[in-house]
Amino acid sequence: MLVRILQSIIFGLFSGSLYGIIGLGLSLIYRTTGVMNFAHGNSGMIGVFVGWTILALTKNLFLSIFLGLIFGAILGIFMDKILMKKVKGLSHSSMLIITLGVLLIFEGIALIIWGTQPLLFKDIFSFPPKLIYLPQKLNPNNFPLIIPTNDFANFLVAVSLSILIILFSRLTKPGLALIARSEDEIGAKVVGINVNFADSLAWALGISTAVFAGFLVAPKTTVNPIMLVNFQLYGFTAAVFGGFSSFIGAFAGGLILGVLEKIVILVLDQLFTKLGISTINSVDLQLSIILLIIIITLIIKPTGIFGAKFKGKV
Amino acid sequence: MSWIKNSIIYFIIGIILGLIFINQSFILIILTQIIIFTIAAMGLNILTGYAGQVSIGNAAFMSIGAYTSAILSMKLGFPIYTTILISGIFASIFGLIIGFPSLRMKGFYLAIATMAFGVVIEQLISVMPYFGAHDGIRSIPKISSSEFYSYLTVLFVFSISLIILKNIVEGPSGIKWKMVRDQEIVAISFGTNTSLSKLSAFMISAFFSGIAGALYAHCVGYIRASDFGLSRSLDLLAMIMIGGLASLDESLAGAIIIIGLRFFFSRGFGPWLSVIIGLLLIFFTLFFPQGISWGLITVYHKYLQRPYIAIIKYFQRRKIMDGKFIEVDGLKIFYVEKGEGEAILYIHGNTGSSRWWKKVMDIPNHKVYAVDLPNFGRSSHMNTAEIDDYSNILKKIIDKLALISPIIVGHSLGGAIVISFISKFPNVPKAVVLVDSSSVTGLKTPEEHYPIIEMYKTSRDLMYKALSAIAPELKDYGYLNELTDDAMLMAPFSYTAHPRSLEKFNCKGKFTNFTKPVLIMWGKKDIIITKDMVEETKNEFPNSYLVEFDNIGHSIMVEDPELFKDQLLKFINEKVK
Repeated sequence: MLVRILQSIIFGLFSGSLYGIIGLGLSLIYRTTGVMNFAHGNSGMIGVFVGWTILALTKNLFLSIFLGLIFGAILGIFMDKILMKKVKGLSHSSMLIITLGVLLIFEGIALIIWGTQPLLFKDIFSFPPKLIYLPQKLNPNNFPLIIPTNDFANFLVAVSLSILIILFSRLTKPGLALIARSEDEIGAKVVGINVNFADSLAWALGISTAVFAGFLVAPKTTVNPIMLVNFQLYGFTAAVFGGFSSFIGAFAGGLILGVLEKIVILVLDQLFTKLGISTINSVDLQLSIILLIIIITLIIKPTGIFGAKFKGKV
Repeated sequence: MSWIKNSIIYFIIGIILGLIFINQSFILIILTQIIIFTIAAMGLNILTGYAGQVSIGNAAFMSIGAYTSAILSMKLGFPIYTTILISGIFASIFGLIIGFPSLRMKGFYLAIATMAFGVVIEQLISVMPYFGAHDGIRSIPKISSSEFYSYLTVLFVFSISLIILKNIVEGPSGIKWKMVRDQEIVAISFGTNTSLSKLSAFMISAFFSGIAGALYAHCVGYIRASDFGLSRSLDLLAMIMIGGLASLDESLAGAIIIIGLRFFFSRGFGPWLSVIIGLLLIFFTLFFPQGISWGLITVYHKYLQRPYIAIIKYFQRRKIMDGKFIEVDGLKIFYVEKGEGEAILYIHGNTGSSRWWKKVMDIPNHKVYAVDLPNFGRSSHMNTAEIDDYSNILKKIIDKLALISPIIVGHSLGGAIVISFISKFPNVPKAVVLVDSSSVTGLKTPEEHYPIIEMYKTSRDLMYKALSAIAPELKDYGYLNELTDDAMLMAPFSYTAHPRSLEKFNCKGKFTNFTKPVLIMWGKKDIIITKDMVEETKNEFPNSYLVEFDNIGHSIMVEDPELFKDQLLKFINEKVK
C-alpha cells in the first residue's frame, strides 16, 4: 500500500509540474494584463504543431523546439497587439468571449492545416525507467517503485523553467517591469515603465510556456488539435489554487493538484473494488475530479487558496 | 402587451414557413433546431445578458434536460409532454445547485467554474452505463412521426417561453438582474437581495435550457453527452453575442446563423466552421457589442444615409429661393424679407433656418426679416459656433441691413443669441420676443445625448424624428420635410458645438436695467424648455410678459402660425407702442 501511495505521489508530482507550467503561464498573463486566456491551451497546441512541422523538415529536435517557442512568443505578441489592445477598456466578459473566439479559431486552423490524424512527436529524453525496491520491512509484497526517467527529466526541466521565470521576474529589469505593471498600471506608467512592452512581454512569455508544456506532453498525447484542452483546465485549476496572484503559487498549485488527483484516483480505485463496481474506470473520472476540485476551491475561497482578498468597488 | 403581440407574430410567421416547407422535411428539421437553440439561447441570455453571470457551461443544462426526458419517457413510460416539463424543473434544480457556489464568484472565476461544470456533466454522463456511456441513448420516442407537428410543438413552446421571459425581464426581477449586473454594491444598497436575484437567474436559465434539451431529445431521437459539450456552450454564447446581450428574441438571428452554418458546413468543411464561429464571436464583441439588430440600425444611421444626404445638401443649397444675400465679415448671409413698415427680425434656433418663419412673414404694417445665421441653411459656414460670436455677427447683420430699432424675435438657440445680443447692445432693439428660448442660464444637454446628436449629421431619419418631436403639433409633413432638409445644411461640427455652447451660456444678472418690453412665449408640450426655465428668464427682465399655450410644443411659429401672429401683434399693439 505504501508503495502505491508513494507511486501516486511521484506520478502526481510529474504530471503536476506540467499543470504548474500551464498555470504559471495563465497567471502570468492574467496578473499582468488582466485577461484570462481561454485560448491558452490551443495557442500552445499551435506552437507544438509548428515545432512538429519543423522537426519533420529538419529532423533537428532542439532547433524545432527552439523555433516553436519563438513562434509561441510571436503569437503571444500578436494576440496582445491585435486583439487585446482593443478590448482593454471593455468588460471582463468581452475579453473572455474574445479569447473563446481565439480558441475556436486556433482549433479550426490546426484541423485545416494538419488534419485530424494524430501526429507522433519524439521524446525529448529517452532513458529506460528506473525501478526502486523499498526495504522489505515497508514493502511486504516486494513491489518495485517505478520512476519513469523521462518524466523525471521533464519534471526537472519544468521545475527549472518555473524557477527561471520567477528569478527573471525578481531580478531583471523587464521582469520587475512585469511585476510593477501587474501591481498598478498607472503607478507603473508614472515611474516610467513601458506598460505596452510589459503587456507584450507577459503574452510572449505566457504563450511560449504553453508551447513548452505542449512539447513536454506531446510524446504522450501525440500532436493533435485537442492535445492541450484538458491541460488548460488543469492549468486553470492550478492557477486557481495559486490564486492567480503569485507565480510560485501557480506552480505549487499545479504540483498539489497533480498529487491530489492521483491520490483521489487511488482512493476511488480501492472504493470501487470494495463496492464491487467494475463498470466504471476511475481514470475516466480524472478530469471530473479535477474540475470538482476547482469548483470546491472556488466555493471555499473564491480568489484561490493563496489569493488575495478582492475588495469590492462601485 | 406588445410582447404577446410579438410572440403571436412569430408564431404565425413560423406556421407560414412551416406550411411552405411542409414537404421538405430536411428544412423543417433545420427550422426546428434553430428554434430549439433559440430557446436555450434565451435561457443563457437571462443568465449572461441580464444578470451578468457569464456561463460557458449552459449546454450542460440542455444535457440534463435531454437525458431526464429521454429516460423518463423510455424507462418509466411517462408521456412526452410531462417529461419535457419535468426535465425543465429538474434542470432548474441543477441550476440552483451550480448557482449556490456562483454566489461567491465573479467574472473569470465564475466562467472557469461554469466551464468546469459543463465538462464534469459531460464526463460523468459518458462514463455511466445507465446513460448509455459514450454511445448515448438511441431511438428516443419522438414528439410526432410528422416533422411538421414536431416543428409546430417546438414553435408553440418558443412562443410561450418568449411571453413568459419577456414578462419576467420587463418586471421587477429583470430590473434587479440588470442592477446586479451593472453595479452589484449599489444594488445591495438599494435593498436588492443579490443572492436571490442571481439564484433565480440561474434557475430560470437552467429551466429553459433544460426544456430546450428535452425538445432536442424528442425531435432528434438520439442524444450523446458530447452533443452538449464545451463547443455547444460556445455556440450558445456566440448566438447571444450575435443577437445581442440582454435581448431575447434577437437570439433567433444568432441561432439562424450558427445552426444554419452547422448544416451548411456539415459536408466536408467542418474545421472552417469553428474558425468562422470564432471570428463571429470576436467580430461581434469588438464591433457590434449590442448585437446584430442594434448594429444594423447604427450602420443605417451612421453610414447608409450618407450619399442621400450629400445629394440633398447639393440640391438644397442650390435651390432658387425667394431671398437675398448680404456679405458680412466675408460671410455670405442669406435672408428673406417681406412687407413694408417697422422692422421685425426673426432669429431661428438650432437645426433651423429662415424657412421656419415662412408662415409668419406677413405681419401687417411691418417689414419682416428672417435670416439664416452663419453655419445654418444657405449662409456660409464659419469656424466657430459660439453664441457670443453669433450675437456679434447679428449686430453686423442689423447694421448692414440698416434696421432701426427692430423687434427681435429669437427661437430656442436663437433666443439665447438674442439674450447674448441685448446684454451687449441693449439699445439696439425696440422690443424682444423669446419663443421657447433657452433660459438666461443656458441649457444643459445630458452627456448621453451627444452620441445621438452626433448621429443626426449622418441620418436624415433621426433628424426628421427629432424635429417632429420638437414640433409635435405640426401636421404639414411636406413642410416638416422641408425643415429637415434645411436642417441637414448645418455645418457638421456645429451639431454638437451648439449644445456645448449652450451649456456654457450664462447672462444672469445683466438685465436689471433693461426696461424694454420682453415677450416670452412657451408651449406646454415643450420637451426641451421647462416651466422653471421660462420663469427664470421672465424674472430676469423687469418689463416682461409670459404667455403659455396649452396645445403647443417647442415651436409655435410652425405649429400654429396664426396664433403666433395674433400674440405678436397683440404684444406690439399693447406693450410696444
